[in-house]
Amino acid sequence: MTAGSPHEVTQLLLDWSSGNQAALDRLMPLVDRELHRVAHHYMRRENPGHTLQTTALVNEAYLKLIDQKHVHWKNRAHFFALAAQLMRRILVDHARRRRYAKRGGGAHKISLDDAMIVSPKRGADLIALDEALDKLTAIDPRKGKVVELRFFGGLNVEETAEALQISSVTVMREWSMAKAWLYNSLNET
Amino acid sequence: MKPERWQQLDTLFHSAMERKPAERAAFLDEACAGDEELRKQVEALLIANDRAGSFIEKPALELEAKSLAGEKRNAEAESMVGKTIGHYRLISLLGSGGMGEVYLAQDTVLSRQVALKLLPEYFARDRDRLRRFQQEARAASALNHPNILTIFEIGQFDDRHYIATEFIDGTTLRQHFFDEGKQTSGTPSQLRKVLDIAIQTADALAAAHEARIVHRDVKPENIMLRRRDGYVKVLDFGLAKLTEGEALVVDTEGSTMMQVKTSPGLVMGTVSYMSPEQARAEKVDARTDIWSLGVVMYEMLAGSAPFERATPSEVIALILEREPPPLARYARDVPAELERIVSKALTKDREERYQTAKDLLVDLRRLRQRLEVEAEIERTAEPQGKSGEAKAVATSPKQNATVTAQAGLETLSAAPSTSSAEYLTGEIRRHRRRAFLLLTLLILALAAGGYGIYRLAGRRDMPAISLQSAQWTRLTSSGKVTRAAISPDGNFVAHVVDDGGQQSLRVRQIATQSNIEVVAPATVTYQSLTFTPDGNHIYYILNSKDLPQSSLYQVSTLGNDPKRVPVNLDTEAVDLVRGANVSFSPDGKRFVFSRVDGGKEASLVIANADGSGEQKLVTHRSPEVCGWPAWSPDGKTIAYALGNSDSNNMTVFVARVSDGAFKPLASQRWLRIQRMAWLADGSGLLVLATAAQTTSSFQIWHLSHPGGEALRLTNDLNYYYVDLSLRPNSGALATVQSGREANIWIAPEGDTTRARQITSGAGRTEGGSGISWTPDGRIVYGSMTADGQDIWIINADGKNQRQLTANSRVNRGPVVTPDGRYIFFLSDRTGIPHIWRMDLDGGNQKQLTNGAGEQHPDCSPDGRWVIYQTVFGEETIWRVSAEGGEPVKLTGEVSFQPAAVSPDSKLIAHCIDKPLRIAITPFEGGAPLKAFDVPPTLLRIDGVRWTPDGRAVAFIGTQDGVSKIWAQPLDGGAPKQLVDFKSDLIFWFGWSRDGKQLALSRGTLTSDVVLISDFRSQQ
Repeated sequence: MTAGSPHEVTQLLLDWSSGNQAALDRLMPLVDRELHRVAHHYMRRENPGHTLQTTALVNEAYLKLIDQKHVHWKNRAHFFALAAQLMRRILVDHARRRRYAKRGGGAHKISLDDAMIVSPKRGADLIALDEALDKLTAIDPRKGKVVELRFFGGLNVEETAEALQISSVTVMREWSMAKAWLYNSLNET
Repeated sequence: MKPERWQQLDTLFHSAMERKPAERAAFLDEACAGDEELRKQVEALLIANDRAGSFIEKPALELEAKSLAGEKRNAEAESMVGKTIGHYRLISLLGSGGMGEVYLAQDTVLSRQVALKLLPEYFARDRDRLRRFQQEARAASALNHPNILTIFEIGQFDDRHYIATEFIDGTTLRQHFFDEGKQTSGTPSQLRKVLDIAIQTADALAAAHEARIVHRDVKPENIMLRRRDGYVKVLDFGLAKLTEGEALVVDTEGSTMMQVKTSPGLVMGTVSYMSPEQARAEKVDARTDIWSLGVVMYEMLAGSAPFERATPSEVIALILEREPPPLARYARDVPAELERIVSKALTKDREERYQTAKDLLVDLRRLRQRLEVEAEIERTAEPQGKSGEAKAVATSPKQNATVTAQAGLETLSAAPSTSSAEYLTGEIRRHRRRAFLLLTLLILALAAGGYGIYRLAGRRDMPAISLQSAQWTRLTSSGKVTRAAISPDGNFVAHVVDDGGQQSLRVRQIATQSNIEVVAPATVTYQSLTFTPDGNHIYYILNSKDLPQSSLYQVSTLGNDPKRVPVNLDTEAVDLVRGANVSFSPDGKRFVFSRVDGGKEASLVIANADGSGEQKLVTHRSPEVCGWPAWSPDGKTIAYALGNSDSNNMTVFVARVSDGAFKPLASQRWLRIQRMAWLADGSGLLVLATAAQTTSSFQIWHLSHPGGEALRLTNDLNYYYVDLSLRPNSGALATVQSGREANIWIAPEGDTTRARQITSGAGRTEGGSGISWTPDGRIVYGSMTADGQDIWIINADGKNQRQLTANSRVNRGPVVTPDGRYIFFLSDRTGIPHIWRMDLDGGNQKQLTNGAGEQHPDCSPDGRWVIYQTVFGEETIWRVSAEGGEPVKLTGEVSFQPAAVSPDSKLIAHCIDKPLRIAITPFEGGAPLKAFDVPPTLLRIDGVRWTPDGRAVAFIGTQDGVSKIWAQPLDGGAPKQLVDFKSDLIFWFGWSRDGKQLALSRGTLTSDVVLISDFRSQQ
């Protein structure tokens, strides 16, 4: 079994859900590695059509981390929820560490091309988003879950619907309002 | 919010969404029935829904990876700071993007500051495109207009193409949007600003269009606002030509694929400014710029671009088919005339659009004039000024001044036959008052300009340190020095000599060149040496098998019994900070050191000189780790290295001695930092560090204090530096310079007695980075010198030595194809190591791979494939066709060493670790078929390759400072020594095609103390 195989990730997720904190320590580097792998591809943008490649790469990264095919247990929905929650935690943590590391330096560089760095207005600051999502979840838990599963967990509409035992149409409805609400909430502050 | 209320909001939001935009207002009027609060909330959500675009549509992992990539790119770009491109010295990074990085640079010939845009190296590969771009940029550089950024030079240095332009201290309109935040536009002062920006941009476009130059990429990123007066400068005319004609597959979330003819890597946002004809990939003309300016104007007024959706393909669909939401929806007070102007600019059929930028300009100016008159009337009608905003517009001298200056400049440029002085006097006669304002403004502008220059000069707080012009003295010649420190008076250098694993501490008196052995040789490792400020003692940190952990000792400079200083220096298992040091307070009473507690926490600890009174000053928790402290000359600050094991890089922090408060000093990130030393006046530090690039080594950097600007002082590609110490008066620095020296030898039949040396290069490592024979008996080899790693060719008799690559970057690991047609090699000229190909004469250099980093090329026996290993992440073996194309992965994880393909192409030989073995793996991949142990006396092996008959695997084994070549038979017999030199190291070897001659790179590893004095010469 190679490190980071979907099977191992699944096992670690299960361990984590049963309260084994050490599993998180082992999961983090696996996510980090995927992050760095995708980041490397963004760094070399010379390749026409690279956008497609990186989208495939991101999907592949999520597949490696949250691959439902390797889940042989009854409760796939539970697995999705767990995985999305964990991805949220690790990614937000990563953003926090990055922000801390960046404190005081490099933060004022102008992005001359918003293709590379997501425009501040349109883009989402993971940390602020995480906080806003907490607020949304307090008002409307289901909308919060939809965002957590889709945005942090990388699930598509159908998978999200399955995880929450609701229809795809409902997922889309919840998504559009949640998205608008979060967008406002981040732009008001 | 109460649940019922939220439920109501939810229902209303979706009901409104189901209706056409035009019907929503009426619906809400009825549904909210006077509940203004509710109505506002629904409307806010509806507007957010329009504006949100791609917000959170991409998964979080992608977003985080993008941010990470942006940071890494910035760090890479930062590492260029201090370098010289042609006659420009890069001072600081201003920004970076897909079209390259922009630096503030000093033109060393004309002594002026410029903005230097370095184009990405990959653009240079397409000669046609490059030529088109150069034509266009040259044409654009002829444009002479106050609102167009002046191009000084379009040039090339080595492989880098650059554009030098005037330097504007300001922000892009995009940044301006961001800084302003989401504000409701429509107040008169904001309206005035929008008009000013639009007018100046239209003016720039009109001038360019007259010269038949189309911008093609008008967007807020390309409109710059000068900081001191908000003056507009349009950037990057003609640059879009660089990317034109490239087909691009836009990411459409797996739905429909769309071919768009535009810039590569176009992601969300940039499509927003595209005209319908651009979106349809039709030929564009000047009217495309009018559309894009229309989009920019709309965005300035509405707060978001007119066509926004989650994906580029949806945005494009809107551009082609839909009318934008009415401006009044976002900004109620936008004058109807302005709305008409914007919508005329945004007419999809270009025949119906404004036909020239001049027409647009005329309409905009007329509107501004009208608004001014209206404001004036309003002001006179309301002398008490109820409308504060309106009054502010009309009476603010700054606003008036802007207009006047604008008018003045227009007239100036329109009257080229009159000198400006004549013009001014004429103007004064005609319009006394206006001219007075104009003059005042000119004076103000000049003063501001002068201030800007002064400020920039003042900001350059870097002392003039140059190691190049300093005096370098090699103090030792044993080649075996591992650590060194200079005494405070500059008379002595303490250093550690390693003789076959036995290390001793010696003190050398510089004047007499005599050495005293202070501590006798022992099987220990010295981590660092530090003189006490009075120069009487040396503190050193030792590691030894007999000691449970690193320990601190103190010895008299004259050599009396070393004494242990009782402090706990737990430094185990820290990857980022290997080694430790102590640094003394200026009065010598206390010292600081770093400690790692249980792998979870790292601290800076202060103790008294005798080791008593320990006190933690600063603590960082995992993944952060700190080390290499340096106490400042004024005693108030301690600088230290802070590493992050997750991001795998380091930077420099400073901590206040009085209360332990810490903060970052440098924005620069390094891969590793080793030792640091303060300059005596506290104006900065010298830092030993490796840049965050795969091919760099430890070099000496200067880091200013408190500015935190980093500048690399050495950039030596053959040598690296270990340890660093400064005399307190900073007149001299001692360091250990370490590197290889080697020459190429030819041994017929592997017979060492007949071996002859064919190169002679002092300070060079000939063949140390690759040796490969051509079919006609010449040798292609990698050479490392202080200036570069390059590939050379030489006859076997030492004649006709010729350099094949020269681009100031790393070019190494040459492999010649069996037919002698190509040389495959590694080059990092793009900033990332890739596999390249060239002809035997160095011509036709072509990049073959384009991954995250590739190394160790080898050629398949039929010459059709290059085998290589990936550098980052999993190290796996891949192959790519000699002609380039899609690479194919061959095997799973392998070791860091180069792998070699067997002569029959069926097997790959490579090293595996833990324990060290030679593995034979099928070419197609899978688990190793065999693994051979190496002779137990060898701690490491290098250069695995097949013997010419393919029946054994040969490798370099080094023991006691002497390398031999061994062969491990495939049948499992005992390994044999093939080449038995009695001295020196072997760095590389290669058989001739007939297997009769062996070429070897033989030499030594040297490591000596170097004293660098008078390095502050220019101050």
